[in-house]
Amino acid sequence: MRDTYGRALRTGAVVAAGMALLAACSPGDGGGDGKPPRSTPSTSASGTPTPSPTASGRVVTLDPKKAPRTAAEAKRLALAVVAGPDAWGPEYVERSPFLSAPGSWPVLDEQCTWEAGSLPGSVLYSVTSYSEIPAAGGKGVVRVAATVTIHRTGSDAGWEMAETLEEALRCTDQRLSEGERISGLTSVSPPYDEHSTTDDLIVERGSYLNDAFEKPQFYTWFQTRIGQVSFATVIKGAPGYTEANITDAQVRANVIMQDRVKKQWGAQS
Amino acid sequence: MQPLKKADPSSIAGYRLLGRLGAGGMGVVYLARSAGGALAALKLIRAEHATDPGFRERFRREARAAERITGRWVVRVLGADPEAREPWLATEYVPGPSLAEAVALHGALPEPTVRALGARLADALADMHTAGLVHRDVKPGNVLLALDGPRLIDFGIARTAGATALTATDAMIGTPGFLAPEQARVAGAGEVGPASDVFSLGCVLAYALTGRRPFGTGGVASVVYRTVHEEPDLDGLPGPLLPLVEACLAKDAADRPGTVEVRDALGPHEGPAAGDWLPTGLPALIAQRSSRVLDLPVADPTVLNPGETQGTSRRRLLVLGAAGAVAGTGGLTAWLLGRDQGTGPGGGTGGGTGAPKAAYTLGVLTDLSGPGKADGRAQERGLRLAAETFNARADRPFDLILKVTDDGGAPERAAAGARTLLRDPALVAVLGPTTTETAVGAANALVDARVPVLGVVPSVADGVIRGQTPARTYFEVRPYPDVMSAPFGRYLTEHGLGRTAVIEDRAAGTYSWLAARNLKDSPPAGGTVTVHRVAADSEDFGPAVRAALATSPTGVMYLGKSPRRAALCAKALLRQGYEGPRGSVEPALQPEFLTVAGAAAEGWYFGAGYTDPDTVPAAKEFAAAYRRRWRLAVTDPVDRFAVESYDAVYWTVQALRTAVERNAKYPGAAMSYAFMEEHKTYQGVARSYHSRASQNSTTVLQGLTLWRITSGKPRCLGPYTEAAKRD
Repeated sequence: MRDTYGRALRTGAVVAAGMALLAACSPGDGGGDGKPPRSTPSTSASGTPTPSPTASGRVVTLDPKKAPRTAAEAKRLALAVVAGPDAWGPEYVERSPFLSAPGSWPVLDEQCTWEAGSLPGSVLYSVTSYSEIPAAGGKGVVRVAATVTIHRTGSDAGWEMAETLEEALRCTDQRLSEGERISGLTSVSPPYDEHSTTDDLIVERGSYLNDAFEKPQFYTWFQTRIGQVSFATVIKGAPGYTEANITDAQVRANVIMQDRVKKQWGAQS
Repeated sequence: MQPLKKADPSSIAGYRLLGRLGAGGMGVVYLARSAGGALAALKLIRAEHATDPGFRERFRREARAAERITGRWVVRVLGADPEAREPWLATEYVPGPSLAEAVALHGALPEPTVRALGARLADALADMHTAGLVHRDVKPGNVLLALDGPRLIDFGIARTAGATALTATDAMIGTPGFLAPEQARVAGAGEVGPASDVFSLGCVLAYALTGRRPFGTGGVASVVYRTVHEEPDLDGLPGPLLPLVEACLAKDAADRPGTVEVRDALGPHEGPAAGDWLPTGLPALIAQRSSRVLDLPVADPTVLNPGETQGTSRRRLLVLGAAGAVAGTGGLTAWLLGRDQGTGPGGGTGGGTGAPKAAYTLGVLTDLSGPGKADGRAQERGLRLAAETFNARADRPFDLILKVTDDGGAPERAAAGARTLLRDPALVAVLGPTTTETAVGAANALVDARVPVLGVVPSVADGVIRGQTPARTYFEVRPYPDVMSAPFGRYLTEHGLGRTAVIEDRAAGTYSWLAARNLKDSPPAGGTVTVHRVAADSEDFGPAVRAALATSPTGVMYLGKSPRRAALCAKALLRQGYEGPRGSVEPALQPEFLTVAGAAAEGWYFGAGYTDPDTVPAAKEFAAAYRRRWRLAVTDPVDRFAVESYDAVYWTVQALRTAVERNAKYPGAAMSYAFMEEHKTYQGVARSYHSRASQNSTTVLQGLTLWRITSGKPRCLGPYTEAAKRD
């Protein structure tokens, strides 16, 4: 399973990067025939004129000079990045409310219940967007969410990842809200190698228990980090869906958020 | 060959037994030496079978008939005793494969080979008919291929012409698909005469020339129905032989030529066939058979190919002898055992002491009869050509044996085929699946043994194949499908066309949605992309096209998987007067697009993950060899995926060299590792490849080509980066 996520993540990122190269001129174009370059590389990624033969998916790091300094700057960036239905897939629509309230920061208490908390000082801005596949054709409603959190430093973001991992170890059963629980949570962090496209990756899986559903469904939480930004995508399963046919979207939405950040904030490595 | 067992007799009726060629339910077939020193195959029936009166009667009949058959091109029966407590029958020993095996391993045979084969079979039948006998079961499994010509076998149901002793148990005698309409009708033995053998011979010739049964496969009833009522399928049969084969297959026995007529029409039949009468690869197979049977060093010079120098032949025999990747039972043994051809157990791998060369098996699981048969056949052709040219190289470090299985496009058949292949310890890789599902079926069955699967046509998402952690065993010799919009997108970029309108076909679900997304994220020429959706259940592209044209696009792209719906989109564009650049992606580039779109197809661009070797200088030689081998006209296009399949074989050879050097006991597992490490890249004749191409933003675009419909035909403009610059 960890490999599935790891590879899907890499592939998704690589396809995005490869497609971005399309907008770029081929080497030497515009030089020999006297014509001006025909394309305008709009972003750093797509501006790569000559992809290095060793280029992997990880061609972008965050440029410290472009980093947001204030909560307002971070908010503008986070709202531009967070994954809505257009990043999840053709069947998804917005839920209402679509975005989390500003300043919201859920915390897992001693009883393994999620409660409202206050935004830590190390976080510049965090936002969660909610989407779903509406119930149709005998299938239940699939609820998904995407969270982007911009920390002040990469180290702060690393600590958030560590806490996420710790939470699943501390509470294998968690109460999400009234009538909504997860149980049997396991958490893995795949080993990293030269093909990795992010700085960190955590996958959590468990059973999703909703009073509205007769049987337990799957629950997957997928969280990555690039520099001081963390990206989480979560899926709560529903009758009529299998984990295998839906986690692609979870990885894809995550990669799309990463790609958006790279475009806005990236630097050529 | 296996050594004799303790319970085996050392001699039978003066035949000294040398070893076991095979064993079956009814008895054992031995390699024996006659009192005169000739090699013989001796079948010994177990006593319990000999008590079955029907069985003994058939055995008697075979022995009696054989006494009257003395031609050069039959396997002569040297002696028999049907009345013994344990009946036995000894024949000449012919180590060659049956025609059925040869075609299964090699594919259709070249016309000169079939002429030489047919003339001699017709001669053998002419002798039989002169002696007043009808063979009644002429079929590929009953024709053995020796180095000097074919041998007809199995006279178990041969009858005196005109005999009327049909019984209930043998009401329909022969093998459906190769028997004549009058045999199929069970109208009465009186009608079954020499002309029936001519009909069967016609079927055998067609089979050898095309690799297909002229009346198809499937249930007995449907094959018989087609034999009686329908015209044979002779597509691809070479023109010069077509009238003769058609005459042999006349429904009315009276309209068929006689055996002598057929023989003389085919060419010379006397004396050994020319030394090179067999196509490349088969002599080696026969030599392999021979050498495995004959205790080394080879003593009998008759197994040497006269076309080769003594030194080469001997070396090859020695080497192949230690290998033995091909079925241990030759055609003759299989027949003597009453077993189907080509189902024998696999031999051992190479690496024995003093054996510098071995033979390894490449499994081919592909669709030769289902919806993907065009791509299946193209792959098979490319793979065969590669294996044949490789096996013809004097400096090759090992031989390659192709084992081809038709999966009909069904995943469960692919999985079953993979499991069958796994019984062969010399299996090193599997190629050829035509769909995602068959690729997954095959790869899942092979993953535990870590035998690599190379997909040339299908695409499988990461993580779908079971147990891909940590090793990978599935590799794609094709670009990732999510980047198929790149070639036309690049064309727009290169031409500075920045207003792209996308027709997103919702019938393609996530595929088209994602492709549209990727374009929006990376607009051609850094411009704008608008997306116009067509509902999955609608065939009316008019409104979406109207909305698209309202944006004054400088390029229109259909994103979907359906060639038919792409064609509907093309027609809507034409109707609404759009004449600017328009293009699509590989799944839509099928013949159906051209037939449905008609004139509206003209000028369309497509991105694809295969190439036309005629457009690649390094692949020119391949293209010429391919046309020669498969008898295509210079103007015929080389089938798509053929050159990539050819490259896949040579890539596999590279990996196999490394695996063999490691002295791997199971080279399949070592191969997977080699594909991931030392041989993750390969430069073929068509292009360069990367075993993990989708993991890297440069290699993910490797192998993409741009195509354009010109004069109603798809034409490859070459690798997309260069092609996109042209007007």
